[in-house]
Amino acid sequence: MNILGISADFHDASASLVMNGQLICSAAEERFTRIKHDARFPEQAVEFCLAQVGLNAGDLDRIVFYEQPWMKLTRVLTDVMSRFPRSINQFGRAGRSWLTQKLWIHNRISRAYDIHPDAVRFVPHHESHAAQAFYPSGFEQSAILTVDGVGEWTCTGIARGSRKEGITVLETEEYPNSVGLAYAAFTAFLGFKPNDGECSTMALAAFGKPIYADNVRRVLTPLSGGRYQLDPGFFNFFGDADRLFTPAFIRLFGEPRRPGDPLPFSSTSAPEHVSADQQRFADIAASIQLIFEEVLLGLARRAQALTGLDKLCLAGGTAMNAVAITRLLRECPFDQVFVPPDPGDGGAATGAALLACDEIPATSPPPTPYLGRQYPEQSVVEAIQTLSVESHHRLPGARAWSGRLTHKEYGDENALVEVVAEDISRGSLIGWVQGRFEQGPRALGNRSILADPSDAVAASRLSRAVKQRAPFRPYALSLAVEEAQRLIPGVDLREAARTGRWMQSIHAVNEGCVSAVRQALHVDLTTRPQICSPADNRIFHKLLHAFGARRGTAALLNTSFNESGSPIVSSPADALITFLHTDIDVLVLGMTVIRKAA
Amino acid sequence: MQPRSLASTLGRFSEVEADSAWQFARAADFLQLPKHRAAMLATALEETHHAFLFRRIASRGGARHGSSGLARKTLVACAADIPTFLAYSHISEGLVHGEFTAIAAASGAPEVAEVLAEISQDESGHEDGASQMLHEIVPRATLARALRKARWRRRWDDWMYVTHFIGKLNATLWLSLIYLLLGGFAAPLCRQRLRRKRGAQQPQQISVKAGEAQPLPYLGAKDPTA
Repeated sequence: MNILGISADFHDASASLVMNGQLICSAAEERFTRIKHDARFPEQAVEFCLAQVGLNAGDLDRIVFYEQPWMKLTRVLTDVMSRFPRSINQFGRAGRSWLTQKLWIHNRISRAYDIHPDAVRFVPHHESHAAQAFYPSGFEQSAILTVDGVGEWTCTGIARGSRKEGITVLETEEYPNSVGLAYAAFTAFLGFKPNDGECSTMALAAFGKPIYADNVRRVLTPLSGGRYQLDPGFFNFFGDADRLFTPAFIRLFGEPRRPGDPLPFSSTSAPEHVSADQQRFADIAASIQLIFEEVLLGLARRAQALTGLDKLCLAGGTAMNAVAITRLLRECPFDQVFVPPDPGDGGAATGAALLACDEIPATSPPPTPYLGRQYPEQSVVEAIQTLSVESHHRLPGARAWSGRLTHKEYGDENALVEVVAEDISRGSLIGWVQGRFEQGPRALGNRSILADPSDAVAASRLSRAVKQRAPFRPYALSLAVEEAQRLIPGVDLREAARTGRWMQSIHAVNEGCVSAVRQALHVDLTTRPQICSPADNRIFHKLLHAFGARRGTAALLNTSFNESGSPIVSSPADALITFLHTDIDVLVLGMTVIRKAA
Repeated sequence: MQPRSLASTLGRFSEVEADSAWQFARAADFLQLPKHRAAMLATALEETHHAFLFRRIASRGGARHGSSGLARKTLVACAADIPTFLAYSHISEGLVHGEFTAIAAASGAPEVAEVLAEISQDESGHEDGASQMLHEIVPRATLARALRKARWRRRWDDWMYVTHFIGKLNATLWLSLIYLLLGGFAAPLCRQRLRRKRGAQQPQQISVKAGEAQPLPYLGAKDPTA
């Protein structure tokens, strides 16, 4: 049975294909359209999914949409109308987008793929999240906690997952009682973009003290028994993205930070001068982070009490908060926790498809994030040929490079990783493209920029001339599994196989190893590791060891292969443009190494 | 030109360029000669770069990505579409050159004018490139037809843009009227519903087994099996 899952019309539109209960491929539309968080119908992602296995739309048995638009519309209308008469603009904006697009999703899907209307199904948003976490986990039974901004009405869900009985929703928190939206509102208050800049809020929290925790508790109150209560008087979730809070919120926390205002914090060095306002923002970030962790922990305890199970699966956009996940791992009553590689709305397309399967196989292969498109060698060759096209077709941002690029193809992986490891150890920034691109927003060694984690100059160049990244946001660390025990004291490798393979949690680094990986650590000397085994990613694991043989630690600074504001690269052509446009020194496309000549 | 309006225009350009890049990259898949494929890919790279440049200056003016409401079109679905696509791109790139020059003059912002001038120069190159490839690929007999078809497509796109604007205005007026007429009655009910949601959230038991996801009521699309 072939089932296509689709998420669209909010952010991170994606498509996933499940065949006979097995997840075959998944991709976000942004990877093809090059528009970050592209919410439009994932036409090209669907096309990729079908082409990947040589199917036509007619071969699909079901197409499943990840939420129920009609239910969502009732929430939108209720919310907008409750603010009458101040919400006339929001009504017009929402009305137009619903009447022209979102309401007709059933027809759009049915017509676009010429599939019987009854084969187009809609599943509740939070059940899509529940399924995306539970079915790939490999657990026979588990509690499931889904926490995100809002689906139709549901903002938080506690469910029980069972291979035999399916997913049973036990309890929900409904709009506007949303811890995810509260976190997004604080993100907007701190001058970052909601639904995108939450990682910046999390990173900024490390520089503050939670001295505003009591204030945060007034707007977001963790209740006994694990539930929470949001005071809607402080939030305006239907306002513009940068004004998700009310004047009452400003009275409580002071003036918001303007986007782009400088923050002097750095993950690797002490700031020279921090103003009172800048410290206030860091303290507010620390406070919301603390209360968010308390809420999440309370919900996990409640999930355990309701289900009586010893395993937990976690999904929803808030499961990207690695700091909170780590606290959960440390303090929650579950023996095992699973977080999928893409717990957000993009991954919910996978959940929707899995939810509509008649039968999920009892044993599934271990989940992998490498579910995107692999480009054929021919496209690499053509990308390289492009460099020598002698016509008016000049290269973007690279006119000065004409004739100053060299390339060499390597015959075997060992030779390739030796050369690349040597480049990294000499301070080069490497654009690394291998195989299928990753599902979700994290680069896990197939579309990565790599650098020596001990090299402050390389890291600074990476921040300044490639990523244009705020210095308070730390880079991630990829390390070979054999190195994990030495770098991360007390790491449980069995637990890390569920929550440390895809950068889902953070860990403190052994004091003796700090200098070897300092540029991939946060200010508190923790890191968000990808603990990589040969089974996860063979060639990347080899590269880690080749680098380890030179520098003594098989670990690399790893960040996503993109520029600020762009999605992660997918095709060799995307990689080439980013390479030429930035200070990346070496581009590795499969077995070919392209260099900018001196 | 007002900064917000300029930002919105540049945001739309960014989307058009990004879409154009995708069209070129896609068209490359249907070309036979490696030199044509490589040239097409180079154009795609350049269009991607333009999208990036536009997006960067548009976002400084507060434009939101993906907000123009432009529908994505598939211009090349098979090899037979290539002549029309090349003709379309030859005509469009030529017209866009004039449009960019006008916007650059009206913007009053040197940074914007500089970016537009740079892109405009590239677009002129694309116009020639498309023309050259068109002459190499398309038999002389069908060349005129391809150009005519592309001109009509261009006019249709312009018309759709106008209708989109009119439709938006019309919808806003009607929706505002509905809002004002119904709002007074609906608002208390909606507030009550939200209060109820907040006040009494009872635990619920909903069971969803794999395969039991329910279809929505059917909304009138053509039943392909009928």
